[in-house]
Amino acid sequence: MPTTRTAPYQTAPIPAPAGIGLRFPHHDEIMASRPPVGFLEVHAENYMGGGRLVRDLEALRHDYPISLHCIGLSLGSDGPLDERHLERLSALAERIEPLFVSDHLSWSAVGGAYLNDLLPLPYTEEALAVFARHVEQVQERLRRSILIENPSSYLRFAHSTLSEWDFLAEVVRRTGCGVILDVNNLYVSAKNHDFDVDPYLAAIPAAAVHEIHLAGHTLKHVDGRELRIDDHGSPVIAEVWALYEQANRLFGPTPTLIEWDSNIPPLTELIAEATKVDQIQAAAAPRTSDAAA
Amino acid sequence: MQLRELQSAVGAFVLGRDGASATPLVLADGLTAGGRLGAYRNNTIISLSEALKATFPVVCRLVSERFFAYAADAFIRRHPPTGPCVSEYGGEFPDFLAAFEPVRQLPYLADVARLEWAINVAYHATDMGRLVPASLAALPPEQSARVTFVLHPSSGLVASPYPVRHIWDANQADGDGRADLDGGACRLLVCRLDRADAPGFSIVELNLGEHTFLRALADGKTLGEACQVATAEDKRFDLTATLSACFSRGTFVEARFAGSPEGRTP
Repeated sequence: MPTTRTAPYQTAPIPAPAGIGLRFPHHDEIMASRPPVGFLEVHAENYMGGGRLVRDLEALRHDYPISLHCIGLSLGSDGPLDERHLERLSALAERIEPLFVSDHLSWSAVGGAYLNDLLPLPYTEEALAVFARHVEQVQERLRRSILIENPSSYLRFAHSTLSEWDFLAEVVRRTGCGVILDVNNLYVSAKNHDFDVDPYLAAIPAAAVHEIHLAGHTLKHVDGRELRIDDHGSPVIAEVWALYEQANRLFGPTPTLIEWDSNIPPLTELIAEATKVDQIQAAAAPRTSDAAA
Repeated sequence: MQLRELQSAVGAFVLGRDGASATPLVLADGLTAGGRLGAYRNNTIISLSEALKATFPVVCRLVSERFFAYAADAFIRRHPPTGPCVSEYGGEFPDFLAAFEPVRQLPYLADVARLEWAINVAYHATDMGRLVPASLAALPPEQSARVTFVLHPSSGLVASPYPVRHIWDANQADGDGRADLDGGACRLLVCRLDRADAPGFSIVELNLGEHTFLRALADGKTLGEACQVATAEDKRFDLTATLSACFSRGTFVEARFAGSPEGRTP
């Protein structure tokens, strides 16, 4: 049974300050200091048990909007969704009343094994039908729309017939889902596959972009060529900040998250990254489209 | 190429089971297809290896980071996760280590891993209401012997001929790593008390009778049967004291009459 809340959660307006990914090493400090960030995002799969982690998250929910970012729905896998996982996500969402629920344009599970990574899809009509059906199933179960994040990728499949941006835009059109535009992922994929970001940004329906992600990545050399690996283990690089400014002009002020998952820095450093987001948003012209209402 | 076939080929590559089927599906684009697919294999193996290290930090300290990565790699390929929650990954790791030839000279290692797995389970277990002693008080004595208990999902029993509790203590961050391997057997209950003074997990040392008793209850034996086997194993077994300690720790979440799963106690 969910615990009874002593007071209803605050329903915050669209958060102006940037959010941060809540990770285990910062739990105690965030519980104790409640730093001034706009929202907290967690990997939903880390909060599906009981004990103090979930209790902490419930306590934090009174002070912050919480975004549940899934890494395990495996929406792009052929075959049925994991019913038990969907049930647990649904229970967590009822308990936390999240600002957003999201997952990725990717797949992880095959033949009963979960690969714990976000693998790219072949961009085909078949994969599009599978992915859109799974998004619809999750939305029906949760009775809310979810956000789908563009992936970072290191390979493309030879028989893809659609571009990633057309595929993502079509998922939005078919399911009514929203988008997390991960600017770092976009940069990483564009470099790894040598494509231009402008058609990508132009293809994404502006009204569907409800959240932006930012993170650091690492540059490796594979087979004598550069390959950018999305490890969320360093500060956001200047080129990605520049792309963020471009996205900010296109999509207006949007809830923006700093993710940091490996080589996790002190909380102050993470918050300093988030402060840069606030500065960029403050400097940008206000949204002119009527979508802001 | 159907999605099902593609995912099966890529999955086999990532888990190191088949390096040939996936490469023709991938555009080389200036690298090799294997180099591109290899990025996913690395991410998967490294992230799962890190997850295992987080769950089994003492095992890692006992065998060194380098050897742990080697053992984890072999384990991940043979036992990839079957669910999306990484904190639930690694339940087969202790048995894997018990049969892993390169660590045969460390016979206590698998039991240390069992303790660490029980700690992980206790930390993440689902929240459930605890049974209070009053719920049994109304039972006539002849019926109480037929009661079975459902243990709180955080409860884990660990028994070893080696002093794994001492080994575990000595290998915490502030420990000197020194433990007497001839220190004798230990029997432990790992659980979560969910009290303000004990928010995470607790490790309770049990004597032979208590351990036999709880093991029997965990296996679905009735209170009468559990008491009998505990007394047979350990003449000093004290039912009243043991039950009282169980209730104060909130070990039970439900009591049932034997043979009628729906028959909860009043």
